[in-house]
Amino acid sequence: MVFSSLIFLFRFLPIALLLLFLTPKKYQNLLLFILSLIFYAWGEVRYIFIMFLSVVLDFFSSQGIKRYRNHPWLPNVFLMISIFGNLGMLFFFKYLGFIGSLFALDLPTLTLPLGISFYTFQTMSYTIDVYRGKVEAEDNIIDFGAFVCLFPQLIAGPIVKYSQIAFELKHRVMSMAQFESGLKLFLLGLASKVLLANNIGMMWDDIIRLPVESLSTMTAWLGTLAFGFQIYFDFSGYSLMAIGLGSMLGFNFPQNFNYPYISKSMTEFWNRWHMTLGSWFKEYVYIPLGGNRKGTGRQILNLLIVWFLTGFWHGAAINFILWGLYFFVLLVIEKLVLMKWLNKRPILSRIYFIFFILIGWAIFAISDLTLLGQYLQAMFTLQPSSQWMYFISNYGVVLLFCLIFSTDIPKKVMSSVSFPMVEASMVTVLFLFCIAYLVDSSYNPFLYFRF
Amino acid sequence: MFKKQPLSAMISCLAVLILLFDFLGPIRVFSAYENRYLTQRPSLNWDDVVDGKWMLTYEEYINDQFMLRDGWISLKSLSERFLMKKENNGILFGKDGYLFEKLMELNEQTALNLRYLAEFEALVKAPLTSVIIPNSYAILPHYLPKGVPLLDQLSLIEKWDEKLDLLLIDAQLKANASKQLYYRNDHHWTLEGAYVAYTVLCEKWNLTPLPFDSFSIEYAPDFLGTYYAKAKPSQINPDRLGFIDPTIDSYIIGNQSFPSLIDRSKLSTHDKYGAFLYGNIGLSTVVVNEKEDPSRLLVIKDSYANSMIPFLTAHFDEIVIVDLRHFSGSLSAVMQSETFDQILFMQNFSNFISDAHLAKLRY
Repeated sequence: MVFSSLIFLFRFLPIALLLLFLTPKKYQNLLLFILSLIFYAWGEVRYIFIMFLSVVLDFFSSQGIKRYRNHPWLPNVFLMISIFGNLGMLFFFKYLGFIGSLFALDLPTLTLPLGISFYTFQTMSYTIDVYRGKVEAEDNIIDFGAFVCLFPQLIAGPIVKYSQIAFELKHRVMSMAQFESGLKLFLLGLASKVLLANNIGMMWDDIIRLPVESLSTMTAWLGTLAFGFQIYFDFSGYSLMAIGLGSMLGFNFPQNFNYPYISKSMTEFWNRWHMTLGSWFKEYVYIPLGGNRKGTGRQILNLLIVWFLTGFWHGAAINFILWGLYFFVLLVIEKLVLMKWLNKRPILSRIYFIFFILIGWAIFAISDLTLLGQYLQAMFTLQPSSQWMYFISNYGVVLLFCLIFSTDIPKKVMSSVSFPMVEASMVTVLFLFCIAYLVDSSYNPFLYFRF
Repeated sequence: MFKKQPLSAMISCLAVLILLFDFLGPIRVFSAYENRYLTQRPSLNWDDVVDGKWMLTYEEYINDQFMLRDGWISLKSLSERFLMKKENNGILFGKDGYLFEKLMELNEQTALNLRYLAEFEALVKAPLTSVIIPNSYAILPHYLPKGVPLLDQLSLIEKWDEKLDLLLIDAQLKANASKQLYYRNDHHWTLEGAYVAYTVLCEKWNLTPLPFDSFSIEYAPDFLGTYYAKAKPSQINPDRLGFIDPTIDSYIIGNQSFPSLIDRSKLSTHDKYGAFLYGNIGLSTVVVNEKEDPSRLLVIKDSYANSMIPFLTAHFDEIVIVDLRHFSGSLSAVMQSETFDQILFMQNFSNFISDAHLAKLRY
């Protein structure tokens, strides 16, 4: 099930909330576990066993680590079981078909279980933290199951570490004040997805469907701009909906996006974009590899590994690897020479950032490498045409809205007027428009099917 | 609650209202506003749940039966206007109230269909005329929003003509563009547009076309067709549906026989174009003059031809009509059952490039 659907908004969510409010505290996590499984099974009944496998695997390997804490090597074995189990699942479902196509082997390409890249990372981090002694192993499999399957963040993040919600898992309180603020975040996230991402996504869809040889320079750039807005409002909208839902249920999920497009460098961008993924890789890959403590050469190698993995995590295709390496190159250049220069130039640094992020989105968006080459060529060959007039006249206002809402200006304006009644009415109106777009929906894609 | 948590209060009221309506409100079967049938509640069975079919249908059902569905659709079109969009639901707002299909790409089916038609040309024994009818925007490009990169239908048809033997009608249509050849609100051509094609066909077949004014033309007012149903433009410029009702012996569909080609009961509904030939029928026969050795025409067509076929009754004694989308029999059996003086293949561009039923040309 996806959040941006009438079935979620007007069937699943009201019923789930009602049940959660009526159920005594003792059974809350059991109910949450069951509700989450229903949420997941709605799209993929058959893959529900992976969910159970995930829960059982990490529950028992962590219990093993806890029980044999003082044994010389058993905890390592349990840790390895968890890591190989999780990465094995991820590899099997996500990368097997890709490896097959790479080496011309006849390996099956499976439908990717929804959200597998997110929950394998979450459960893995839990077992690693237990191993490191950072958190206590969970003794109640129901509570643990509720954590793994927690429906708000199950399919598209944020990547919530067990340590971040361990306390709330046992002792959360649902309060009306928190419900109110959570509901607001949820609805703003919904509007971001339904009103901004879907509308600007249509523009990208139009442009990528045109014969690539007919693309004018301007249209090609407008296309990547549209895609950049679509993925931002879609992804950050999803995260915001998750955070809002979490808050309504009494959880505090970490922030995932912090206005990435106002960045002045790629380094800054990655501190603002998909923050929970960045910190996951930092904590579980970069720092264990030695981080920056073993000299510049080693640091660059570590960055290479992290960015290769980051790219590959986004999808099992060459272009995603290229995308990761593209950022590796830019980040290393920034780290070694460019950063000082950028810091002093508020305008030029933004032009630099926007120029390179748009090229990055073209690499991300187009998996067919031949087409990607042609598309990049179209971006850098001067070909005038009147195409752009249609795209500007049809999508100009939407583009303008996207531009405004990708900065923190609306938030600043909103926080300066503090009339709860006015604010609530505005959010309700946004919600009405969301319903209208969902009822008459010709375009409501789900972008994370390959994550 | 209303004071302290105004948003929660407002949204809960809305949700309760919608939920109550969903469970207690009426179930609609047909939407006149959208001109289509609405999804009904799917019956629960295990197999459909396991392969996910039930969930998909259930979601469609929730959408289709949503409280005040028509109102939400209007709200969305209002919002699209506020965003100054030049289109809604894939329909472009042209000048002078014209609505056009936003057709930007061919698809996998196109190459297949070109092959099927080429194979069909090689196969048929009787003289064959193939027409791919350009859609409205291709003939009226100056009514389009500026710069919109649509498929260039005319040059594609010309290109295909190098390999196929097509009868081109675009020059004649363009020459007559001062008349209203296409509907503003529907994807079909008007009676005038159909008449242009009729004259080109007559020329090809060495027949003398009857002048337009010699037909007694009737009109049904307030025609808002498929484009309108999708686009919901702010300004309503209804078309009028012109038709002729020639005298025939009988019009045979299966074992039913009708005295006329026009289903007048449709003229007062939203689906006015459906009056021609009683809609799209898999196999039907117009018996113009019942006689021993009739002159016979076979038409393999989509709905565009429905408004043109009445003109042809002046020149053939019998017209057999096949719509492959609704035809489950064997086309070669139809062709062998009688001798045909002419065979006409006629489809509009938009349908031709995507219609998966053209594979039946081979059977």
